[in-house]
Amino acid sequence: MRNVVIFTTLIALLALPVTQVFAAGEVIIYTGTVQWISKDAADAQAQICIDMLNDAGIKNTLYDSDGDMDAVASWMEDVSGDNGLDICVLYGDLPPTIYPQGNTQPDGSIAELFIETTDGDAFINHADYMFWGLQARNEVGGLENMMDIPGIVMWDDNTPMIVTEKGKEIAPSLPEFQSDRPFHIDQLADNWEVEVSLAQNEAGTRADPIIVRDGDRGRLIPVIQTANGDEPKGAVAAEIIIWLMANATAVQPEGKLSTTWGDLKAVR
Amino acid sequence: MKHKQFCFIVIHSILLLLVFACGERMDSQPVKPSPVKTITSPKDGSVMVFVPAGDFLMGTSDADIEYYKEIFPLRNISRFDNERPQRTVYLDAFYIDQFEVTNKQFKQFLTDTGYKPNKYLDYPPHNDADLPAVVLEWTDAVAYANWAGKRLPTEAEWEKAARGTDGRIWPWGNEWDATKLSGNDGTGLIDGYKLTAPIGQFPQGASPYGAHDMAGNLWEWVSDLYDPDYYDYAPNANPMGPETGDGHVLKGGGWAENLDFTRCANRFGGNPGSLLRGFRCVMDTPSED
Repeated sequence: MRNVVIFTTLIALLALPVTQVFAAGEVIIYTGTVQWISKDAADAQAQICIDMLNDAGIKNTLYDSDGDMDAVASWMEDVSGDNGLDICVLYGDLPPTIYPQGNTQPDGSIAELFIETTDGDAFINHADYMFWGLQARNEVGGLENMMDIPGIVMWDDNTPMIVTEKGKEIAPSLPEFQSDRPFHIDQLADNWEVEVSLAQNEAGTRADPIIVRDGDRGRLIPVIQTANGDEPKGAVAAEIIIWLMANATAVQPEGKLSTTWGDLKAVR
Repeated sequence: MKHKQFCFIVIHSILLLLVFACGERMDSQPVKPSPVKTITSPKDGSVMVFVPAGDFLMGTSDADIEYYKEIFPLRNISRFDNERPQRTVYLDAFYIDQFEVTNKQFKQFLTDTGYKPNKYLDYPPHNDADLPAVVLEWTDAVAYANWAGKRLPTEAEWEKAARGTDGRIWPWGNEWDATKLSGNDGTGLIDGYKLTAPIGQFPQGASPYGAHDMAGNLWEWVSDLYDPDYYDYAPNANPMGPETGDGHVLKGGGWAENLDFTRCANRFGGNPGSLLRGFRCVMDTPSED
């Protein structure tokens, strides 16, 4: 028995440098302020997402009032770096309580620290330009500063998004659609890389939804960024979250050493 | 001789029939701006082009929808419901600013009046003198128009000034041409401008009445409130917009937009989000016009 424990421990230690794995964390969904989607539509999509997460046993909380901005900030500070994969879902706005408006804190904001720890935390964003902010609060600087990539933009309305094989596998609800604010894959820099592209244009330069990750740190996940579109944002977000919680926290990608969070706990 | 006359009449008639039969959506050739008449607004110095009284086609037709299915294959067609039905609308004559209101003009207004705008982007890279003023709040645009002795156009006035009478899709015609506007993708690779362009840089994309930058550069405020169903009940003469609505209508698309949002019939309301917007003004014509 003792040999088994030692062996398991060794395997786990060997696996850690290959890919860090963490526990499934929490999800919050913020619809207090929204852009390019009505409040009613955002709340309806959020409820779809919540129902699916509940069915999957994933802990989640809805913050549906602009008075919840402080609570969002508190939650984010609490979970940053807690070794759990936590996800914040936004509907086109970035609350100024986690990213001070006007890009006055380009580095070290609560939002940036959230994705700069190594537990893989993620922002999912629907509808409008990621991190733009109400009334052009941050403009392009929001995304630039959050990614530390000067010049990165999310223009290009009407870009056809063709669902990839991985996209079909992860998010069966994802339709082919025209993204109005697709992610520009060809502007990725430094340690940022594509983890999974769920839908993209023919040239492979624009994608939506896509999971991009900053090396071994956090993730950004634009999901169906369309102007007032009626695509199934909530369902697709839930499917991506469920996939992430199952695959990025416990099961190794193909071809890598296999270990699970359960294994790691077992050797403690 | 009679035979020759007969042949001439027959050939002439056939040619005329062909011209009329092909009249719809055959104006893909570049349209040279040919304003009937211009005036200069005394208060803000804007050149204004004349739009004569008469009917025009407003909104999106069934034929347009079939075309949109080809060029926007993945768009949900319900996206265009707020532009339908297309109808013939009569408007009285008016003058409209040839260009969008610039920072130079908007700052003159602020200086003259001491007005404090709610949301005007008076910082780089938006505030060069000849760039169109980015005025995010509709009330600020109205305040400027009042100062200038003008008003914001109704949605119908804006659309007629942009597309003329024949229901064309873009100000220059029915074929998309990315070189005829400040638009596309915000990279500047096609139009030469990463963000907005100084006013009047795309004369080849001017409207039939000589108004510039009606497609692209900045989205433009109009006076109408936004009701997605307004075209179902709007009057066919001088429509002024619904009595209630979700914000105000924006038209024309911006520097980052391409072929869908820059269509003359496109209308956006309610929640403009990352659309940066400006405006131009109109003036009623004296009765002798």
